[in-house]
Amino acid sequence: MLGPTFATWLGAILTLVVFSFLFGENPAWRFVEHVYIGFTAAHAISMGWRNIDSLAVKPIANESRLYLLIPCILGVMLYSRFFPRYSWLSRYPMAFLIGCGTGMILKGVMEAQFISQIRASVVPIVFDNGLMEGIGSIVIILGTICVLLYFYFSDPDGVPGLKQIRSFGRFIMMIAFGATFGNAVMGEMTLFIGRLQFLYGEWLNLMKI
Amino acid sequence: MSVWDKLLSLDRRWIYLILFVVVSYPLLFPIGLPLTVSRETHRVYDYIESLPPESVVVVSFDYSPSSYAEQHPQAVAIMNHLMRKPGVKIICTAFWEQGPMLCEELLESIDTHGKEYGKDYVNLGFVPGGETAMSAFAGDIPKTFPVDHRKNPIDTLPMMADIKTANDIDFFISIAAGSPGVPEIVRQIEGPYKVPFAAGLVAISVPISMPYVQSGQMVGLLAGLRGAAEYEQLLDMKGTATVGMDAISFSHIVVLVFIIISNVAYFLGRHKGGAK
Amino acid sequence: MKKEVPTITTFVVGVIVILDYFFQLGTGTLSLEYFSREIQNWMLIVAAFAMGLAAINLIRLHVVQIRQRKTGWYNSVALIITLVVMSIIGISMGTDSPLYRYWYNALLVPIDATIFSLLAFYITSAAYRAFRARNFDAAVLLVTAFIVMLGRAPIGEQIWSSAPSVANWIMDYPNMAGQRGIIIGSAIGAVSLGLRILVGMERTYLGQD
Repeated sequence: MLGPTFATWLGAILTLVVFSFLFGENPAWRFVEHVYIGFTAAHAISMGWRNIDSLAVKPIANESRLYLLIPCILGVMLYSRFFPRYSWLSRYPMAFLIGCGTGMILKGVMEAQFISQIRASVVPIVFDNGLMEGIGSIVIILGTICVLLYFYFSDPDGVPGLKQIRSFGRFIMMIAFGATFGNAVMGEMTLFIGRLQFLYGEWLNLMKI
Repeated sequence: MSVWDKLLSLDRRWIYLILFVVVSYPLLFPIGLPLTVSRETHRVYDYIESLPPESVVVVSFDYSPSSYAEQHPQAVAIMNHLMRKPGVKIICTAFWEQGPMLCEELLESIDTHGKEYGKDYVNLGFVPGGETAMSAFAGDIPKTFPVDHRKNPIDTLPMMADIKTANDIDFFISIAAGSPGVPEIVRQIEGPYKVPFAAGLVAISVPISMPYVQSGQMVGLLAGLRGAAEYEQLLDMKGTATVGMDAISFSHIVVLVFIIISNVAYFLGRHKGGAK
Repeated sequence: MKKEVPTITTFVVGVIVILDYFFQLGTGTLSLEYFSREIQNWMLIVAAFAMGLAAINLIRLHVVQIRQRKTGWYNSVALIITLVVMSIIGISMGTDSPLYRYWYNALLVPIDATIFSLLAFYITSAAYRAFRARNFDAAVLLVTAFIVMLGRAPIGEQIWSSAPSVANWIMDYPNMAGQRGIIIGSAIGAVSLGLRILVGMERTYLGQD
């Protein structure tokens, strides 16, 4: 019954040590936590190096694309932040990263998250497919507008009707948050079930997967 | 201390123990509760089923071991379906650094139905940069991935000969755990290149992604473990997702019962002047 | 000049990326598209360099812990050993090598998966201790979460046959309206922040003087 490999046993022990954190901090958990952080950082370095090698080092060495030295220098300049006297050098690669990232978002957001979403909100209100579908169509239009009005307008002067509109927007948002919580429970439980499947199935052979 | 106060201040370790026992039971003694397939999952299945031979599908492994239990079954189910489709080419990629490792693990264990690496499927690996990486990938695939994850130069892979940009992709699927994920793909790949797009998502991301499904920007989505279980059902395969659904049921009942008990205790305690 | 040049860099890079989306100017290597593509490729290289920043910071912090023999300094030794050893294996042999993959699956996967599985316990405990219908908003959130949890679980359909369809209606209509309002609102915010960054009104990313 208990015939797993070393990796399975190690995985099981590590799983149980992490579960021990539920009952409070302990030395074993601390140790495992530090190993995890170290490995995660090592993985980032390994993956980063792979990409530097394939995107910069090899093209420079094999294809003489010497202009790729510029982003390499920018990348090295990022590390100047660890030297207070020269930390201002890291502003240049940051500016490059932020400029590119901002441009990326700005060019895509208007169509993807603004125009398309607004277009999709204007749905025909028909009751051919049932009462609930028709009511749902009304909820989509009114709900989207009221949620936006809730975000963008406070009501210091007591404009007639705005209070009710904001209340409906808040009501719709509470439903959205409730739906998110319900799904969050399913998600978190799945992560726990996955570990139990490993312990019972792969380690203890008590269940067939 | 009234009985309501005692209930409300129950030691959390009892809560943990009850959860552990209740969730363990259906894993050790399966029940097999029936599952109806949702419309969103069906749409993804139907789209893949309708793909003609020579279609190019990208599967992006944008998750990490932290959501392995939810998303690896989704990836397994979708890759199983794609591998069964004759003539369909599969490009695996990742915009999360852990993605290629999980992809390799999957490729090692899956039945490829005669498909060959390099000719019918490939793991291009990970590229950093998030949304910019997605845009770079969509605009020039060989330049973004000069080598694949197994260090093969991309021009030595026969299937990549005619695949240069997102215009050459017929379907994009992301197994996405967060950011970069759905909004970024919609902004950089689906929107500009009009590539049909679907996703396998962690359950908590499903509500915020529903607007993209309703607007037609997404073909459909797989919602957490349930989505994976539904897909397994459509494929007539019993995987880890199906096995886990009974436990999901029991875990939800536990949480619901706890919520009911705490609210009853709260209101009755308040009514009797006991709890605040 | 230490902030002006980076600010101009952000603007120029961002504008090139945005304009490429809307205009086709120039041909071949003198086209806007070519410059935009090169900027994006350079960004990938800089981002690859950035992946090592966290590791360097970790090493700096934990070397201090070890030198000063702070409480738990031996955990810092474990972190640095793991980081260094796995980085050497990952860089020299590759992350696709059998050795790296073995330790990745034996160490990182179980720890990472189990840490996040603890959330199942915390969400259950939080639901019991804090999820009370104290007011109308909380009651709406609670009822919605209740219905969605029931609808998402196969047992829910056995308890209440309409649970899945009611949960789907909630997800498809009111939840969607609320989430769409949030998406559109955040898109407007992203555009506003992006423009402020590009024109230099927002320079917090450049750090202190």
